Amino acid sequence: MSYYLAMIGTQDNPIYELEFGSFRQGNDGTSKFNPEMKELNPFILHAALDIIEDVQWETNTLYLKAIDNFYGHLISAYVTPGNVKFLLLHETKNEEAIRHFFTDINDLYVKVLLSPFYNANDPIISPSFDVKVKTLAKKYL
Amino acid sequence: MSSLINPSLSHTPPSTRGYNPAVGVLSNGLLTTTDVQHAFIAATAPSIALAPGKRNSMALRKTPEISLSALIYIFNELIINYNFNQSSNIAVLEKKLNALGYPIGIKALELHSTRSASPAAPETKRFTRVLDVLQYIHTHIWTMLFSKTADNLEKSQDNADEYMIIDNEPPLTKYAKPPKEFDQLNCNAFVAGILEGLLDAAYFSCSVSAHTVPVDGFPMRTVYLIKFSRSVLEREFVRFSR
Amino acid sequence: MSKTIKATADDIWKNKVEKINSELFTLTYGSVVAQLCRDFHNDYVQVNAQLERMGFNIGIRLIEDFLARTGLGRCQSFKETAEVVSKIGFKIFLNVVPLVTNWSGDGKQFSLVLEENPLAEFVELPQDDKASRALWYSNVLVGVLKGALQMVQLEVDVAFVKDVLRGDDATEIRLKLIKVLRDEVPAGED
Repeated sequence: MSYYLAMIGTQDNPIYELEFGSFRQGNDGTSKFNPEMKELNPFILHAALDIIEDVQWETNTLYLKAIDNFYGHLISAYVTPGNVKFLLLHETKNEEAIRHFFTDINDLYVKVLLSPFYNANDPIISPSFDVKVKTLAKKYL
Repeated sequence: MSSLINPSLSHTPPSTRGYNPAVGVLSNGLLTTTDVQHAFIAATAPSIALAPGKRNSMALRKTPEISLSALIYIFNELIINYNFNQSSNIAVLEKKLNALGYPIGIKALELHSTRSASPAAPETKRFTRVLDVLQYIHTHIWTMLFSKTADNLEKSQDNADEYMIIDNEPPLTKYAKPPKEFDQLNCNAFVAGILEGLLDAAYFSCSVSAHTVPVDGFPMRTVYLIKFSRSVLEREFVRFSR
Repeated sequence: MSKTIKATADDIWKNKVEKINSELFTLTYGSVVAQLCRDFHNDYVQVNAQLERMGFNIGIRLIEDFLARTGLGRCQSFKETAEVVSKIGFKIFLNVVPLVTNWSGDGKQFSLVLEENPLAEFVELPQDDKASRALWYSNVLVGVLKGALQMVQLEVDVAFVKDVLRGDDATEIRLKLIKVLRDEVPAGED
């Protein structure tokens, strides 16, 4: 089971991406997308942005659950109050775990954002952030 | 070099950790078992604060307190010593202060929403309507920044896109008295910048300015004039009027 | 002696100090440092110097505020100065109490070790090595200490030696007493 996570800033620019696989049930955590899917992943998520733009004004919760479907692959979304979007492309439905995952990533994102040397919409290149996200992926997915 | 020429075929070794936006997913993805092995060796800059987990969760953090004078000293040094000598007139200086406050607004918005998540209200909210976001600023944001609520929230009678938030005793400028040539200056342009950043981050694009409007008993009373852009009003009208 | 110092500090903090959320303070200071780095084009040596200058200007004003709030008289020894600075000075302005350690043999040098630094909460220095080698993020404190102590006739050399933002295990400031400035009686008067 593979996952593709992207964090998109307020100007529709990606600030972070991560491709990984499930750590559950004996899987080793590597992503198993076939090469055609790999190339399409960013485009799929990008197309989902339009849907987010529409749905976000209809509700004021942060977690938007599964908003789109691409030939069996689900796309779940989460929008922070500052309009940074977290998108996850995944294969099986798993609302609760993904909700916790996104909430913790929101926490991490705020901590990164608070640094004065990080300006809004900058890509997040910090290695420690990367490691922490992977730790969360291992914990929840 | 080869990874630049053949980005989709080459795979950056895990020694260059962290997401690299120029390379994309290949720079940090867990694509092979070696990646997974190397992923959790965290030998990076000290960011103990970044560790996820209940103890370090932003929601549970108690807000530390500090003396107001410390903030005022830093703020005054910032204005007086630094921008003051380089700005030829008031408008330029106010613009600079506004630009300094802008990123703080973005950070304050995200910070406050993670903070307000509590066991009683586990789902923090976003704001979709103009009045909601203004009320949120008036009570919660003001309390977070200044330990008090703003004094008033008004809608302008003349212009549909203007709202005003009024603070009778703005804490940052309580003890500041600009010199004679600059007596039109309102250092609260900094706070106006914070508000503008916050509203822009929440997708309510606007411009905010601070004006001193003294009234009996409150000589430093400041009015923050918020002027929303057309797109915000159109969206409000299209989506929310019944 | 130290019990009364702590009790005085807590009392002043509770009753005479207007408090606000320290996050606005952290964010404002962060914005100052970021602005300086931009304006000096990441010349961290100059940024450090400017932070120290700003701190000096703050220090010379802050000392009067401090003396007015605490009503303390002259300290009898450098050791007492160290205690007052760390337990009262830092407490009533920053709400932290650094540890006074590493006294030198002659009693003229000591270190302040800060366990938490409200100026640098959540700060992550830029990835380039230059920043972590050259920038002292909280250098304004150096200027404040220098300025304030100079106003009470103590010329002190102050500098950072360690900073958690750089990867060290603690944040440490070293203070060295150079001399005690005496008021000179002008010639002809006695």
